Amino acid sequence: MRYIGRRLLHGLLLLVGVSLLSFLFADLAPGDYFSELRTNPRVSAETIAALRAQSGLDRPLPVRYAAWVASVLRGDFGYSLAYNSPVGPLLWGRVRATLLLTGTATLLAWLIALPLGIWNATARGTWGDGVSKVVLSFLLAIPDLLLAIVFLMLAVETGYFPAGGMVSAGWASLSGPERLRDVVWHLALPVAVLVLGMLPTLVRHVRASMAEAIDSPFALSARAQGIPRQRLLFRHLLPAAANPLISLFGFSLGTLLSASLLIEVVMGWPGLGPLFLEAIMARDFALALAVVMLSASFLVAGNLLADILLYRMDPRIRMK
Amino acid sequence: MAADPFLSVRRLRKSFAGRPAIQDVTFSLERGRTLGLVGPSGSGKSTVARCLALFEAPTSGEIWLDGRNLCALNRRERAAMRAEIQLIFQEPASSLNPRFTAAQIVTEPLLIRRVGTSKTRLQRAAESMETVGLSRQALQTPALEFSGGERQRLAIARALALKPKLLILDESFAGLDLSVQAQVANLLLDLQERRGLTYILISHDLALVWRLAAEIAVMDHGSIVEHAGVADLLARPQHPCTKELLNAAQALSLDGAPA
Amino acid sequence: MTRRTKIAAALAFLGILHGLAIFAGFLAPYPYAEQHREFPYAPPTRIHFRHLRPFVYGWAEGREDTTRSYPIQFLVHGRLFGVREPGVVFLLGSDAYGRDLFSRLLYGGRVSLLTGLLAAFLSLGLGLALGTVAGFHGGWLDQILMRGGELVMALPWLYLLLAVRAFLPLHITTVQAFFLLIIIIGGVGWVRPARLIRGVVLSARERGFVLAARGFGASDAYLIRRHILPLTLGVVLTQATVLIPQYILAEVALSFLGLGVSEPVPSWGNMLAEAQQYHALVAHPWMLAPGLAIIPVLLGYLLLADTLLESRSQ
Repeated sequence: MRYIGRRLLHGLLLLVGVSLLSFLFADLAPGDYFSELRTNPRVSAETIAALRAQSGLDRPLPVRYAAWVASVLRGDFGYSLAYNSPVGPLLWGRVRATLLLTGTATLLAWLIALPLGIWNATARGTWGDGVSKVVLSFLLAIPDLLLAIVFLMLAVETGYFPAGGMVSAGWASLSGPERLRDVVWHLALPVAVLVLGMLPTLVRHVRASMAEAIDSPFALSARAQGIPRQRLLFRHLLPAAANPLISLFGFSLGTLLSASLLIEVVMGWPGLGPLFLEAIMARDFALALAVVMLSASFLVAGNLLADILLYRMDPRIRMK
Repeated sequence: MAADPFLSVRRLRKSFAGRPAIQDVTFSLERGRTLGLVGPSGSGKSTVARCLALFEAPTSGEIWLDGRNLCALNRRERAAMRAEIQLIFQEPASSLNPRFTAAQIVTEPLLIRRVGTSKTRLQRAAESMETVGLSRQALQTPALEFSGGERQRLAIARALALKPKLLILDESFAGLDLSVQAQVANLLLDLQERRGLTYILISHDLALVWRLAAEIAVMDHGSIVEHAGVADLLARPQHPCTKELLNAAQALSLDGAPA
Repeated sequence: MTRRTKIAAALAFLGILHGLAIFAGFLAPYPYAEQHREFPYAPPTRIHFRHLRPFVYGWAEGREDTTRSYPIQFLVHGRLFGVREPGVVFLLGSDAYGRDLFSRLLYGGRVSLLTGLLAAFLSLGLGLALGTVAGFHGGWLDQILMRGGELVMALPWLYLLLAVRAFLPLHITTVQAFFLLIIIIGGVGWVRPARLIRGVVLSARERGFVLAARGFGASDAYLIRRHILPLTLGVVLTQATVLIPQYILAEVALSFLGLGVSEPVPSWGNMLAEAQQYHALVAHPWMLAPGLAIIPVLLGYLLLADTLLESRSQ
């Protein structure tokens, strides 16, 4: 329990550090939300200064930081100058959309990678494993961006899938099951791209962990004792291979909010990605910071989860 | 005239994080003699070695070598003193950089202290190699390709480069075959005779100590509990720790059968 | 194939690809900004041979005009090959402005590949320096560096890159953008190499031969230079093979989003952005060339990385 408490505190401190660093960086960076206005000759310097003062951009750093922290605790997460609203409400719909996308993709990727990796590990050196290796390596070399564009091209060409967005027009007027079908239809391509992007690395890790477990001395002696394959696999090998996979899984969870940025932008999925891009292009610091903090929190939480799971599942670590 | 002994250690004490590893270690050693330092694991032998070799600064106490107090030197003097005392480590494999050639290993001390030119250094390296019984042809061979015993010879050749007066051998024979041990032991005896080197030999192997040392000091829990000439100690051990050590050694006679 | 052969093959392969990009100025028949408005989205020009001499036909009304032929000339205008106006040789077709895609692919490759290489150089250099200092001296310096690294690692990588880039001046020259990209990508990526190198240095510090050298009075600088740094080489090389492709992709992503190198200077990223006219894309699939070109590059680095990794674990 104390271990968990310490790690939790560590994570929180990390996030505080990140937020401070971001504020510092935004201060050091030339320009802010109103900088673009300077290029407009019709807007005078006084107006810009007044706008700055109005939105509190001219206050000293500690004051702004404190105000931001207070806003976070209220649930507002700062104030977006571009949208003229507290950041909070802007986020949640987007977060849900992103989680839907990455959650589905991550789940699918793991569901495919686990059996595939295990099979590869048991069938090492065979023709099947060789083919699998080559295909996955090739897949790894294909940039997600390219896949997304190609898929969209095919979607536009064949019309089998929508070319972007999360829901069709008039979604609100559809019935429950039809709504679900519509979302799934829109999910298909982005999820496919993400899964294909995640698979190669995942399968590699699963294969490596399983191979190590299979080759380990205790597995060899278990086989020598004549333990049947199924039992060997599930009761002995999988638990042994689980450790590095658990950290990987925790990390997978940690990237739920950040893995899909590019795909969302390219494929028009209304998640955090496009919002973030908008925010930073407009130098809307509060909005950008909120997205960054959210993703960072997920990362930190993912690592924390992995640590905790490892701690509970591996008695060796507890002994330390 | 009874001059001060060559090496004189007085009330040496070293603590790590508040816990004493050695306390009140006192002994002296004449030039050209070998002192065997024996005792169970954790008795502080290596700590003494490291203090003597100036790897650790003692918490208190004095070490006098050839009339100079090592603990009272400033940095520069201490650095100069390092040439006089050399430590030969236990694992020849790890104390030599496997990627270095024999030449690089043996000339390294000279290089570090900027002695001579690369040509003269190489010359001295060749001589050192031959002194320890290695062929000078092997100078360009990487350390990896030498056997355990040969590597220990390289370590000795390297240690001799700066012409030390005191050589500390910390378990330097562990892990070597018996025949190789014998060869290296002979080499050391030979060097001692020719160059008047003084040795402190730390070992678990009493047979070896009997062979090489003139006196033995037994350590236990950080202190020296008995210190006598080899023959005396083996014939008439006083301290229970010494007796235990001797019993354990005798229990494994040469053919391995219990006594 | 032995390990040596694999490494040599991968290096040769990568060398060729990078070489093609570096010598873009010579190999490309056209400058990257040269437009041929009369040939928008032209398909790849077919090369014909007459008596082993290559030539191309004219292009009119969307098809080959066999009444006009233009021989391909070599070593003309300081370029490897070209055809005399008004003939055109678009080996990979042209884009919306009639710019030769093959030429832009080469020039774009130069930008993307070079950015990846230099950024990796920067982050590895930083990682090496900081990791060595942290591992060797330990203490508070180590703590600060590792904590700082944790902060950087807590942020999702692409988000960090985008944010840093966007909050810096947006309207800068291409050269500035190029170097800025390198500094940002490389400057953010030092943490992982630093950690790995720190680990190597920590264990190397305790090795017998380092202690022995210390016993001869060696200075810290000597120990690091002579004994410890050579031990980091393995890690540095494997990290390089992993980071370079990552950084190439980073450049592509940034330029794709408009935050990297911008028109008219091509990079594989901003060229891919042009390919987003999906209706046009089906009819003109050659616009995907920059994306496809990345694949062999990544494959090469992948092969190299795998070979290096498997031998290190032996």
